[in-house]
Amino acid sequence: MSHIDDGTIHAYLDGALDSYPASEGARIRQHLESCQECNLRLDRERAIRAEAEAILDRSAPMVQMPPLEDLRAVAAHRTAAARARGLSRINRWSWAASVVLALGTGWMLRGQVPGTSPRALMLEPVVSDAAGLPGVGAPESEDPAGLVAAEDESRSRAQSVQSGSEAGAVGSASDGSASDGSAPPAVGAGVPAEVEGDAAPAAVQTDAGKVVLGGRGARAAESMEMVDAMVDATGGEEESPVQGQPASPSPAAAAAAAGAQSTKVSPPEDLTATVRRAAPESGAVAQPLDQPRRFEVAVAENRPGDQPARTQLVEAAIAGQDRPQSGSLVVPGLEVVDVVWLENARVEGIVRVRQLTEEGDTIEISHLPSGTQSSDLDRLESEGRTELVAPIGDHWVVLRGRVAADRLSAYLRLLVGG
Amino acid sequence: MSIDWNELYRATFPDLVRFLHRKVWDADRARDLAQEAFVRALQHEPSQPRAWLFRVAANLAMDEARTVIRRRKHLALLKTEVNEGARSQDPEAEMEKKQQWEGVKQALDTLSERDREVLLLWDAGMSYPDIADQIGLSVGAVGTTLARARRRLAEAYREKEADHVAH
Repeated sequence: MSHIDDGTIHAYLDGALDSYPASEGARIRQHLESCQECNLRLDRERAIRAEAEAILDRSAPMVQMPPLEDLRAVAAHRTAAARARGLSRINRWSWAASVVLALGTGWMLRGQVPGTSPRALMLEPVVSDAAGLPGVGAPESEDPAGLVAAEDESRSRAQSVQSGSEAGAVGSASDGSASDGSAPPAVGAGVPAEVEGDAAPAAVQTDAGKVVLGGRGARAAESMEMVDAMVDATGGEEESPVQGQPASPSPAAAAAAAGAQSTKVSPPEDLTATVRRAAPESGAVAQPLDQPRRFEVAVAENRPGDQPARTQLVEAAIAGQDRPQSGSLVVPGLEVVDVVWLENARVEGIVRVRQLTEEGDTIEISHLPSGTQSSDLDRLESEGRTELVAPIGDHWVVLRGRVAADRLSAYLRLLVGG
Repeated sequence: MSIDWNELYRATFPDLVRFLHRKVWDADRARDLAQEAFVRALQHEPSQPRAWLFRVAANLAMDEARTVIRRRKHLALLKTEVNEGARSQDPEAEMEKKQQWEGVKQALDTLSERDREVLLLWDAGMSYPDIADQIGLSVGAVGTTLARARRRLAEAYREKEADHVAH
């Protein structure tokens, strides 16, 4: 038998050989008993192991344990607060889905057809009370893991969003050439995408910074104010799928959508909000985008260094599927940690949702608007995370998390109904 | 299978704080995050609570590091009796402890993120299979990673110590 490698020696020292196949464990033990060379290495590695443990012990904090009953009380308080509002786990977050859709469609503001007025958006279903939600809507006295933004910043951020929508409208007007139906951007994280006809987003300059729409009812209500402000800026509306395609230019559809109003309702089960946007004035017809049936997904696992070392096309198409007619940035059934409008030096309107999987992993779902590139999103900053980049038409949905690519892909399918 | 929360809490909370402390380097914050992880576990009642707790704790620590806006606000409902007086009774000892922490932190910072994570999870009492599951490694690779991480940590700490003595 060949000599034992260092990793196996450490597994032996850690008492972890039982995790190995029984026959392999027995062979390793037998070899260590008889091999002098491996025994020398065993002693050396034992010393290193002890040294490392001693070093770590030097940074051990004094641990004071609060009574478990106190933690139980907090957990019960949160659960009771949610139940008292009669919200199911999914419904508790439906406001977030709605707000995300409203915010996430900021990109649409810039997808302006020449000669038309700026488009604006509204959303339909909204539940604005998210108090008592774990991780975000925690009671006033709680600040779970620093995830809740400071209250005093919330208001200024709300104002930022409002001005953001206005500026976005200006930006869209100046964009001139909207997405023109060219092919979807190049696939792959970190790979610059070419979106023909999209104006540089630098024309859109606002003070809209990072907006945290976290939890408390008051803040959620502010979110609604933001949304209302966006809606107020719109004219008549026509429905449009979330993916940013222009609405059907058919007269029937336009007539059906005419006079649509923003309503705040609480759909008990449906997380699929409908995004609407203003019909262009002066009778101009929105220019339809090319609607590629191919739905491509690229996966990149980051490695140390500036760029992902490996980009792999893992999924070619969702066969036979038309582009989804609606979508969301919130995976149904997963707890929402926060909803953030990311500030970026080059672009605005990137909306990111973070959700907690059943296993406790945090996944990020980001929407990058038309005219952006997937590389506009900050690169993966930690090893072991997986990124899934999905160009949908002329915009992007990027999922990230410390989960396997197939899981991310499954989440993406839930989002887009594939 | 019902969870024996008292046993889980007794056996896991100190490990969780220890694990988190090496990530946030603030004992109070580490305790707060550990409490938050436990509160969430009590709400969710996961089937594998210990592994779940460490996952959540790692995510909380990552979020903590990322969060731009930080607000130091402890869980007021949790009345942890912190003996502030005892902490400040011996400022020299406190200073020495902080220096030791800084030395360990610097040594840990020389490790790759994955190596550091595996080492800290092991140090917090996680098993090879649980570490493998959480990090996405094979069980065999956990030993290899630990061997590399321990060696690198020891070397880096020795170098820091030597520099400290030289100055």
